[in-house]
Amino acid sequence: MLGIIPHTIDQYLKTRVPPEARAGILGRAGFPDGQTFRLDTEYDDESCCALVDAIAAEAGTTTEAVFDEISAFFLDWAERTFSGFFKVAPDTRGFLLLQPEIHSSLACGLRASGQRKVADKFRVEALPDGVRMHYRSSNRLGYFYCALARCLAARRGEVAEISFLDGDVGSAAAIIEVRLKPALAA
Amino acid sequence: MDQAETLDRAAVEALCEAMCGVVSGDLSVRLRTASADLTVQKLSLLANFMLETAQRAVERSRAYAGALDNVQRIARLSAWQLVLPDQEVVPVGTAAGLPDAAAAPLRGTAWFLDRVGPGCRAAMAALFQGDGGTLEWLAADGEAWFRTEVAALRDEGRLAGYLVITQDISERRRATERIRYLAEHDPLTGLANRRRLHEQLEGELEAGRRQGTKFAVHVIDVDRFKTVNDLFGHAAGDRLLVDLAACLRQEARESDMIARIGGDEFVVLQTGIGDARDAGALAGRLVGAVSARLAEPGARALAATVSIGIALAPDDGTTAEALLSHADMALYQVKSTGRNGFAFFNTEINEAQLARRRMEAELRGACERGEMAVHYQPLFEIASDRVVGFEALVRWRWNGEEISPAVFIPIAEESGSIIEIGRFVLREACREAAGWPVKLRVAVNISALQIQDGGLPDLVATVLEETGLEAGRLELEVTESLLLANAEAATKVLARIRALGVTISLDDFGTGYSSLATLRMFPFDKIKLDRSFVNDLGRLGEAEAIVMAVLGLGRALDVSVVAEGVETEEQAAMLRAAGCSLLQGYLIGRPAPIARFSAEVGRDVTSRMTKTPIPADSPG
Repeated sequence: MLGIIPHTIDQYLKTRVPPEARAGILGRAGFPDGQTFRLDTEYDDESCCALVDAIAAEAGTTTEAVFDEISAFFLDWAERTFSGFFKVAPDTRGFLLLQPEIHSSLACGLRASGQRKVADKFRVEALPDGVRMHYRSSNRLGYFYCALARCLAARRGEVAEISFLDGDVGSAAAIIEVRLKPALAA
Repeated sequence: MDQAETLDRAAVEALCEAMCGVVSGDLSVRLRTASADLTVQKLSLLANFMLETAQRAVERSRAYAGALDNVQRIARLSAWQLVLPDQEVVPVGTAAGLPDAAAAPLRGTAWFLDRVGPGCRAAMAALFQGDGGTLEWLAADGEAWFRTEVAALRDEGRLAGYLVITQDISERRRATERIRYLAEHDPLTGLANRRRLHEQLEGELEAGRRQGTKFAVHVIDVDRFKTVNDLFGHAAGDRLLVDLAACLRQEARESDMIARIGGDEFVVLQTGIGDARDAGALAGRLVGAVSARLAEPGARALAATVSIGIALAPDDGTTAEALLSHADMALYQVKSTGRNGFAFFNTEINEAQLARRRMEAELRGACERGEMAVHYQPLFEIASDRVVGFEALVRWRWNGEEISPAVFIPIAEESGSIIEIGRFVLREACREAAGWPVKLRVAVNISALQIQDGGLPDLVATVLEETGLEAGRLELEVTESLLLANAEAATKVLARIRALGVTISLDDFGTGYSSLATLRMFPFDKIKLDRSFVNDLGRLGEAEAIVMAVLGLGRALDVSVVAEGVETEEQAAMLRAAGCSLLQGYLIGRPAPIARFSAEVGRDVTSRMTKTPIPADSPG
């Protein structure tokens, strides 16, 4: 998993919970005390998912609720840190069409040439009013993708209507359709 | 970034130094930093992102180039550029089609023009003079065809060179030529077809108009080809046509076109003739050669002869249609006067043909106009010494003139009017017979077309019901040739009619091709011995033997035999002595309106007996 995900979650913890609570969550997720997350490093997928599970457990809520909360924080951070990615995409649909390429190039960019080939987690098809995403990952983070799409659309005055053509939010493989409408028309 | 910290400049410098390493062209390098500075980490992340993106773009380009090579290979394309002003030749893709590497760089177009056939070389060179263009050309070795597109390359308006793309189109050309060949030739014989013939005729007519040349159109038809097909099957018929085509090729000149324009119809277009004698000489040679060659013991097909009709251009016609039509008329003339010969078109033929066509047209609707009438010819039974039935025979009165059945029946058969006429005769004969006080039988002739029409059994059933005639009093007469045309279908139709109670007799027995086989095809109720045998009785010994044989056959099969064409008392006596039970002919009575036979049918109560022409004291 790209370091920017656990890094952002950690930033979220730093701003929302006391240090001792953060340390407890990190420990619950299996990270040592004093753990930091680098932007230019990949982290173990399962450990990162454990971090979200730990936050949900500590807060007494669900992982979905945690993703909903984190997605807004993540987008705030991403739009500040990688503003260029968002500027080249005029709307939500445009960004969602670029997203698999960005994700893949960032991930592969971190790897040595011999390890560059990775199974694509995302494959996108353009729809007239949205995208059809083919998601495949054992991390089962389809829900996080949906949360980010909804949040991004809301920021651009749009509404994302999401449906699963195959699988569901917890599936390792799913086909997700995101159809976008102007907020006023929705 | 999130926190305002002092930038780790040393780490940034290290990253910059690593970035310079990309100058070697190696996009697989990745930047690493141990800095805890998030900005430095971000810089490293995005630098690697850019390297990855660039590397992907290069990989895609390589994939496209590979795909392009495949496209070039599959489409048989080659491409190269001529770069000006140095005339340098630069390959495009791996399939550039350039000569093998030479010591000196390849320059100019001479090497390329050498590959082009002499006929196209100047046109190809011209493409490199202006804005380019497209040319299909034959290779210098004459084996392959290519299509080359030359496109001018411009740099800020100045001619900078040419992009040359060449495709091997040999297969396409061969396919096109094959399609054209198939469109213009008969697949069975390989001769030109009707379409090609018409083109050639138009060309010859045009040449004739310009240069005053003459030519002859020979329309050739195999005599009795239908019989060959009927008796020996279509494969044998096809073999005959192939042999005939070979024979025509051998006899005609190379410059004469030979075409097959229909089933057994061929045309020889004889060009450059002086006068009709040249055409006659060729036609005579063709008739002779065909009958000689196709009658050879070793010939694969059957012995056959041909008839030829000839039209001369421009005297007999100035259009392809007119020439073929007139040659056809001449052919008909040969056919109607014995076959196995040739005839020239002349205006008399034309008039005869026109009269025939008028007759064809007049036959349609002749029944409705009341021009057709049914006459009856009596059938005499020797044992009972009385008339036991009549054969219904159609008569046509047209323009106040009685037309012979021998003239109009064949025309009605060909034009299809026979179906309407046959229906009329059947209905009229049944209606008439149903009204006879004496329950005599009535016989009606059936044509092949009526059988093929398929509706005959229903028609017979309907007519019997309408007229009230008992089925057992109706007899249908069929000929051998009718059965041979389509034996299976014909016997099915006849069986359905026989199931109604109608009797079926075999007419003109002995004149066909396989009489005994015909007798096995269907359980006939009666055989009618052809008049030719009766006519020869007393004159030719063989005739008597044949009559005796047929009568014996009838007895063996328990089928009654009618002798047709009995005209003399001597013939009648001989037939009676030979055991023949039924007679028909002028001696018994000529065909006449039924009123002539009032006594026989019981309408004239004063005289119920017929004349009895048979000598009572005949031997036997």
